[in-house]
Amino acid sequence: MPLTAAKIYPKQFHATLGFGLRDFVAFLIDDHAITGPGWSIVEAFDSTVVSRQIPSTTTGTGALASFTGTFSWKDNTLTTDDWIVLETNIGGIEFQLYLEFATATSLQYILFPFEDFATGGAAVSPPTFPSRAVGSGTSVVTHSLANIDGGAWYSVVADEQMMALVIMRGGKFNISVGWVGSLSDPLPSDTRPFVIWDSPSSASLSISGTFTPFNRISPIDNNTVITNGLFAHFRVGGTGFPGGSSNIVLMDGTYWLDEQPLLPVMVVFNDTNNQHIAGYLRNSYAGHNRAAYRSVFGALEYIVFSDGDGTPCWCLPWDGVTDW
Amino acid sequence: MATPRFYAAQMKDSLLDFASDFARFLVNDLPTFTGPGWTIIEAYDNATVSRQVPSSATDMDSFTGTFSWKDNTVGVNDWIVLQSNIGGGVNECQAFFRMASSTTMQVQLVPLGNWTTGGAAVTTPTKPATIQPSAVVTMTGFTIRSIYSIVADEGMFAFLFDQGNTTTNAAWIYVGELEGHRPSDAYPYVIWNLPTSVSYDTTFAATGNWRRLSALDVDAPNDTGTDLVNGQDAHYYSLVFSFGQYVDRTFEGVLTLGETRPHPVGIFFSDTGNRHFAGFLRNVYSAHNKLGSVGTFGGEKYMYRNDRTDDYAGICFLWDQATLYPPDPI
Repeated sequence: MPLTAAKIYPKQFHATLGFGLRDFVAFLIDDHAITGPGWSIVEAFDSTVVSRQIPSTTTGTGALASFTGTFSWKDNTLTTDDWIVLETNIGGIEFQLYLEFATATSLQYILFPFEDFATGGAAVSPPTFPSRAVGSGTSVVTHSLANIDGGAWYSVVADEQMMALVIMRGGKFNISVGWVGSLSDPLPSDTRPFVIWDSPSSASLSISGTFTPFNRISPIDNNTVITNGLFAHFRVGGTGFPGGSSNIVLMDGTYWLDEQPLLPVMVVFNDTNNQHIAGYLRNSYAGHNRAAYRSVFGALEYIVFSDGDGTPCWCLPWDGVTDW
Repeated sequence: MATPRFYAAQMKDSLLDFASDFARFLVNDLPTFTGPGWTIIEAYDNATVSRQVPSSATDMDSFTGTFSWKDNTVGVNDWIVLQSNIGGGVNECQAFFRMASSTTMQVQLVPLGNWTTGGAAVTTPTKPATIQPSAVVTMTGFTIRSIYSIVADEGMFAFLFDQGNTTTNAAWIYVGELEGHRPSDAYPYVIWNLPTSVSYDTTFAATGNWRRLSALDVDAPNDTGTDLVNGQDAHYYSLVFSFGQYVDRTFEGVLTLGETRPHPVGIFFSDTGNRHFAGFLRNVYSAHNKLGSVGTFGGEKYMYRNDRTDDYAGICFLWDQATLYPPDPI
């Protein structure tokens, strides 16, 4: 199945994280009024009834309703410790994503790049993960946001093999980001170019030699978890460059003629013996740091945001309709 | 979507032997090669002191009488103007080529596609005021039998000649459209102004050698416009362990998996009042400097050439997936 254009779940308000999680999961499996990318359910767990289930319909309309009996994922009654495992929808080499409603203010997730989650185990939270799971290293990524339990806006940009999750509340920089998925243009021998962002609270593409938010399984031995994944940015000549900066994303609007280009984000891993250029983020771009903390460009074709002044922004495709 | 076409590693004894092929390939009028379908605007034959507009803009044989561009006898002081084939209502660009000597070719970009035909039959015709650069780009060094290569599509062409394995007698040029330009940029055309530099200056140069007509003050062919003279390559740069490095220069990680890859090249203009990221080169990339001076990779999907022995990245052409480079023998 070929990749299709990103599907957009734009700025949906939910009063609790549980409602938000269940709703964007419905979007991911295309069981929602908003067309999703068609991922599928591998298995889910309801901590109240202490039951894990595989639904009879794993994707599309009615999938969540096909869980049986009283079950939080069916009934939209998630409580903490509930979890679900989803699988992507490319039809070939795929990955799985574990999502857990960890606390009232935090979501946890981890990537199974070998799509080898074992169903049918003990009804516990968390379940036993595959040995080659990757999140923040080998641990889960914790995605939280201040006051998220008071209601927040959830946005997802996803296709058959990637998901960008943006959660924000009121306040200038109260925003967080998750990213998991396959990169575009990997090396030919890299058959599972799946990465996961481990720093949701850093909602900008910060330029730093020590900010290494990407993790993955090494493409060399398909076993080692490598954690020194960082961005590469476009740069022009340095010394004497007008404006005092040579990193393009650090230049203000006068350097752009007040338009925002789409700069691909290259992901580079610098782990010893595993140095490599992994590829580019798909459906995600870098924007300059003066785009304002939240803005749009084009005819609402893209959104731009950052979690701080003077830091390079994220750019994500948008639906052309919804305000940002 | 532009379709790349290839004139890969053809041996020619001289520039003048190559000139007819060059024009015929671009207008898709060369046997055994499929070209990008540019069109002929006008040409000049110095031997007959005649400038002509052909009856068919895509048929070099439609010039009349004795005419060098028809007869494949291109000589010194002959020139030709070709136009891109982007279509779809997009503003076209034109390129001016003049054989200034048997070893020197002059190239200029006509970004507004406003060449005026029918002027005096002279070897230095009157050109549009907005031609880029205002002084011609001079490609030199065509002194011995060389390898000639072109990658081109409907909106751009890149041309390289060299000996395959030495740092002398080599030059390249890129003329035409950029990919991913700003939506309001109606004439996103650039030209490389330093042909003898067959590499990218991935150091810290403060000046650049890409040229274009300003994207800011040109909205119609009759506008005067501003010449921008400080276009620089933009390359991916990574900060690791608190020091930075260009990924196509010193980040050898690209090679650790035993594989390599092309890197996109952005073009950034820093001329005062006109600073902007203009877009990306199309069909042309950069290649890691540790690859050496010449070769192909990816199953001949990419060809690279680097005339430097230090840390500069090489130029890299999208290639035909068939032709080795350099060919043997030349």
